[in-house]
Amino acid sequence: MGKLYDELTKDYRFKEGLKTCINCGTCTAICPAAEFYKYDPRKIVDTVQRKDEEGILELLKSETIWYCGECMSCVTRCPRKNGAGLVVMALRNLSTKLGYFTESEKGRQLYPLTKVLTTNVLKLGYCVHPSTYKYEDHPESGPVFEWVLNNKEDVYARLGANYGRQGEGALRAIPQEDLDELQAIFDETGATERINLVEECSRKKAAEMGMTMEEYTKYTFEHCSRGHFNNEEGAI
Amino acid sequence: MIYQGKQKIWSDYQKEIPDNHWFYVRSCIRQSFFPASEYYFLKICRDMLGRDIFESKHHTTCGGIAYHADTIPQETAMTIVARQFALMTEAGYKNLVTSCITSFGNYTEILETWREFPELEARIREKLWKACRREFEKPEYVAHASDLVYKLREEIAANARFKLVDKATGEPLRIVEHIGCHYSKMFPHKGVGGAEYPCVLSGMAEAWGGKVIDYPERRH
Ligand code: SF4
Ligand code: SF4
Repeated sequence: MGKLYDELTKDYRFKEGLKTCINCGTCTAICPAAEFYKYDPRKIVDTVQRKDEEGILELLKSETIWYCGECMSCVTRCPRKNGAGLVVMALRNLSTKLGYFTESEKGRQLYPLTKVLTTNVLKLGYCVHPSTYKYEDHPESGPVFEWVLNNKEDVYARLGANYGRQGEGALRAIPQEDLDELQAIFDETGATERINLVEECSRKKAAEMGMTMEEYTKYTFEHCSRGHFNNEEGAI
Repeated sequence: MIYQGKQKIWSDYQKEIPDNHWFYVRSCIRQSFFPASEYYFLKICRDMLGRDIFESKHHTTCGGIAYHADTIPQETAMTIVARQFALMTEAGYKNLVTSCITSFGNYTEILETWREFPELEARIREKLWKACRREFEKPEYVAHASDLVYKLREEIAANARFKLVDKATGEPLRIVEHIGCHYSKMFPHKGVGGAEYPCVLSGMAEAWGGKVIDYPERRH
């Protein structure tokens, strides 16, 4: 493998996202993630721009690259047309490829996310779907939505959806031939390989942490240590 | 006419939104959480205003959430989108309207990236062919559903049974709007009013009798 910086330059998000950073800090000032997390996109862009290999390696194993919400507010405001959020996407991609994502608590969340989202896409044709959406996992969706989930067929029919049926319309069943095409796209473009890699690295990490995969999935999805947020003492 | 100052910036951010004939793609979030908003978008545009909006039962997610959760590679997201373009091409449409704001951002980002890196577009065409045996034309126009409603706002106002007015006082209802992040942050010129003067939602609210309340974060 070439240097980490060279690896990053192969990512189109990186080509788009890093021109010349003048370290003005506008991205950090505007960043909604920085308002809550101990997060400074300016520093990330600067570390990468300096081709600081040690610093990049640290970033790939860090919590910090997983704090970004990919809202791209920084792209609008950067006076030099950089995109800190795009640089972060390239860093996350490399962190995943090299298996470093399991080194951080936020990075380990990639496992439950990959499992849920890619399974939904391949089995249901959409990233999110009421048939696999569990209220217990998302209490923030509130009691009304809990009620909707408990009365899916009736409520969705009343709201004009075509829930689970053939044909067009919201929440329709996607024909198997189309799901097969999505699977073929996943196989052809590296997504299947990526899913397997995330699984393999996560299994290793779970063993290291002395957890079964079930425990690991629940823990990585639910547990949030103290120290991520600006108003919390200590560092992760 | 010479435009100056705000007027000049404003003229840069106007969009010529086509009036008719759209290929429609649904949203993971909107169909799950607000299915009636998708239902009424189609009902208003098709049944009330007589526009042609086509939906193929074969279309799927654009992969945007999986992509922005970093669970699928960029090329996967691009090839899923290329497949949607193929369905649009096969159905004979050139304008694409997305239900989802992140989809809109995704489609726009992908087309812009291909414009800058044509070799990437060529690679995705190859991958789509290998995976699905499909080919595509790029859309001539990509809009978010809100762009289309904005375009039709006066027609909607003319047909509306109610105005956004307080019945008791006759005063306009005060409206606070929020525009989804991926509408115009990456490519301000693709959104009505850009990132500085976003007016896609405020324009609707005002056309229907409401009064928009400004707040600093509105342009963050
Ligand atoms: S706003 Fe742009 S130039 Fe300023 S620190 Fe951030 S990336 Fe660098
Ligand atoms: S894309 Fe990431 S770094 Fe940029 S403003 Fe949003 S959260 Fe901050």
